[in-house]
Amino acid sequence: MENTFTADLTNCDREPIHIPGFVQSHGFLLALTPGTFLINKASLNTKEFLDKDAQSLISQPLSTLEKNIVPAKAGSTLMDLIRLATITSNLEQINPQPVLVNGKEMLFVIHQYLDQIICEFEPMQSSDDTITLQKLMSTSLSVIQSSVTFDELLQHVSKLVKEITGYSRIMIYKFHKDQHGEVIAEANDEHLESWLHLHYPASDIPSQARELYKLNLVRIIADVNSTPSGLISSPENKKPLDLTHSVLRSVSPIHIEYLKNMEVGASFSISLISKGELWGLIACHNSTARFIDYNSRVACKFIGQLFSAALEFKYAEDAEEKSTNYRDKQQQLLEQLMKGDDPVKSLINSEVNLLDINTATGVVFFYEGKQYRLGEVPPETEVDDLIAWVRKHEHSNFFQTSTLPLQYPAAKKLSSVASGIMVTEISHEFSEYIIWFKPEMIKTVDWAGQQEKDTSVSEDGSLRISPRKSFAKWTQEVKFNSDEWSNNEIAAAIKLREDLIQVINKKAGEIRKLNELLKEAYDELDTFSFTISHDLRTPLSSIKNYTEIIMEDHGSQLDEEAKFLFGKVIIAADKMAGLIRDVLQYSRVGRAELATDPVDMKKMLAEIREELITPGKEKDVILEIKNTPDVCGDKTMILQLFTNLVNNAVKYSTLPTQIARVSVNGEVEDGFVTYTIEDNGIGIDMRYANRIFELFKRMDNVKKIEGTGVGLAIAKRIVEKHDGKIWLESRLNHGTKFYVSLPIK
Amino acid sequence: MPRNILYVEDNQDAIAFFSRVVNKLGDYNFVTREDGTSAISLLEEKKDFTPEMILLDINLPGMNGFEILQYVRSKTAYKHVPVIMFTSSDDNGDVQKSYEYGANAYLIKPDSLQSLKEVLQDTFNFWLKHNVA
Repeated sequence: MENTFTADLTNCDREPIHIPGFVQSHGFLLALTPGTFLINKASLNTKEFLDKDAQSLISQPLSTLEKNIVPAKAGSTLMDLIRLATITSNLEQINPQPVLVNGKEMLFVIHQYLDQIICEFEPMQSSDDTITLQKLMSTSLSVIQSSVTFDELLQHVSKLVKEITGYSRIMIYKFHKDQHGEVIAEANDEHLESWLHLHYPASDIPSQARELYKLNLVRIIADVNSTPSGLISSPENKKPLDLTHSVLRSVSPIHIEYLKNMEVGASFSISLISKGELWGLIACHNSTARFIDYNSRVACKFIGQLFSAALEFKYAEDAEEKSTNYRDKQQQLLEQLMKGDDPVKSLINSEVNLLDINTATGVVFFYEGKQYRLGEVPPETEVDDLIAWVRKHEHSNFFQTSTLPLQYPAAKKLSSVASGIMVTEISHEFSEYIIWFKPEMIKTVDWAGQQEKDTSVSEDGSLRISPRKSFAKWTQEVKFNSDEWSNNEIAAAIKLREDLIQVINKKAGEIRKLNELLKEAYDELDTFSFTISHDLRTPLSSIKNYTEIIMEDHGSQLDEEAKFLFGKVIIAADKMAGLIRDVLQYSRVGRAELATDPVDMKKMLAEIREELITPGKEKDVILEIKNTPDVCGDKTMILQLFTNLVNNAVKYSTLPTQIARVSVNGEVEDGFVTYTIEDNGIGIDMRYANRIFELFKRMDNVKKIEGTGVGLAIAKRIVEKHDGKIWLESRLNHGTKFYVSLPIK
Repeated sequence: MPRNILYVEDNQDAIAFFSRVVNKLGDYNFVTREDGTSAISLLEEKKDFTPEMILLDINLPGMNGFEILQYVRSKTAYKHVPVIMFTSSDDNGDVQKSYEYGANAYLIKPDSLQSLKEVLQDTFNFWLKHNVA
């Protein structure tokens, strides 16, 4: 025996399966030394075919067998064929050669590998079964070419392979990223149960077998239950024979055991290669032993190669089609966004929505402080928490995971809807996001048999792990995993973010434009109120003056009532003149260009005091002026501001029983000069404090006091014009404290 | 001998009130013009009427009060004639401009006849005396 390695599941990764030391017993093998053509190795079953012991052949020249092995084509010898083979570069043209082995038709297959000429002889099927290679190939080609979609390709190929091999079960296997396999297409005899979408653990096909599959594109185990035939070597050549390219190579006993457990009698597989990697397999099983002849195997190999080529092409095409579909939807989404002025309507409540651009099952759009939700999504508060977590842990504007609960334990209870999330940030500042959700994919993994290793105790008492015996479907609970986000989905989400931001910015631009228009309208309104007030003054003045003339010149002709009524006209005209004057001032503040000079507040407040406290009034008003830091601003406006505030303080201090006490004090702090103007007057109801700065607004408790309701509006306007602030504190019947804060330039 | 006064004003009411008040104030000979062009042609003629004081409204059809003021100040013959801007505008800018262009006073039209009388009396007294001196 050449090979003493005992394989089991613990070491099958290291089993040297390319030098098994055995061949399958449906054919026999002879290895020749190049040059001398002496037989240095032979399979032990030669007697069955040649009626000669293997031992007797060792170290003999091949010519010994010239009478036993005769090429079917008349006129050439076995040696002629071998010589031809050793000089040709393309063995495909030579293999297989029909030969008569002791009168029985067989196929002779030859190859040279690692300084050995390996001659193999395998059965030839009766001519009825044999379809010509050419016909097979042209059929294969047309089938693959006629497949429009990838699914169709899978269906056609599996059916075709079934026809050629005659096996009972054909499966197309795809290897996932983690090397585990999934049945993605099948063609079975009717009585067999479907294994479609069953998953197989990666350990079912050890890595060195995968490597071999890349070199040797088709493999047959014609009879799982037959005993393989060992190899015998010449004394000079004990080196194990490398059977990598052998057609008779025996497979690992552990694989045989695996197949037996599956109740498979014959197995045939075709490698599917994509981009140099083993993409999958076409695995064919038959419940009983079944040999497939060389030509059919070549046809299958050809199908595998065609499929591999189509795989890259069709699969790319399929992905392209999906991404084109997403791109179309995305384009539609963008158009909706551009057309409408409400992103929520465009992205959520439209024909195409945020769920149409990927495979997500739910989505939440955070916009203007609200959640807009579609499909299967976690409760609102959970989504809020999730976003808070994302904000904390992800510093870029994009985040995706297919194992959220493993990273964010709070999502464990949400796993049925949120095992995978993809988050794209629209605005960090406003906390605006789109989050897509994918559910846990628990239901999607149906394993072919339990993945845990079956163990059995061998005769010598040591623990031995053998291939599992049960292949019944077993659903594994793969916790907290969703389907992965594909590159297309990620790209679509990132693109959408760009589009959305562009649209939002465009809207912001429109708002800015509206703002400009509003400002213009506002300016126009100021001009309008200024002009109209100005123009009203002249006729108003005429009304008053003519009334005065009537009273003066014709008073004697008027009765008392008429005089009284004309008096009312004059009072009303005066009141209106006052209003006009105030409105003019108010609009003038709006129109004025702002001069910013230092204003001597000490001087200005002294002037105000002088204006206010005319001789005789000293006893009624106490105006205390404390600190007077200078301010920066338009002198006229600042004067008006303080005049209005101080006048108000005095005016509304008139509680009948007490002296008006008004104090003015300025402080400098944090780049602002803040003046307080405090009185002990009637006060302002703080519930309406925000309204007292409105134009023409007067409080209920001042109805009896003369006023137009413009003074504070002017004050506020002046303060705002200076980028300052004005506010107040007040208690009814106790007094009011106005604060004016102006920036130091 | 009545003192000659030129009053440029387009508002007939204002002229009516002015004349009523001025006629009560004393012996004044006043001429009114409704716009700058006719006012200037009056001044150009130089024959029948030489004003000793000029009152100018600001908002006028065609030339405004400032333009008339500038003209007056550019003529040697009128360089020293007191010019009083007489307007309803209390705009700071208007006040500043008036003095800049050489007005002697800026008078806001009062809205009662009594005030008008007082204001005009003071003004006349001051500026006509001033001129004589």
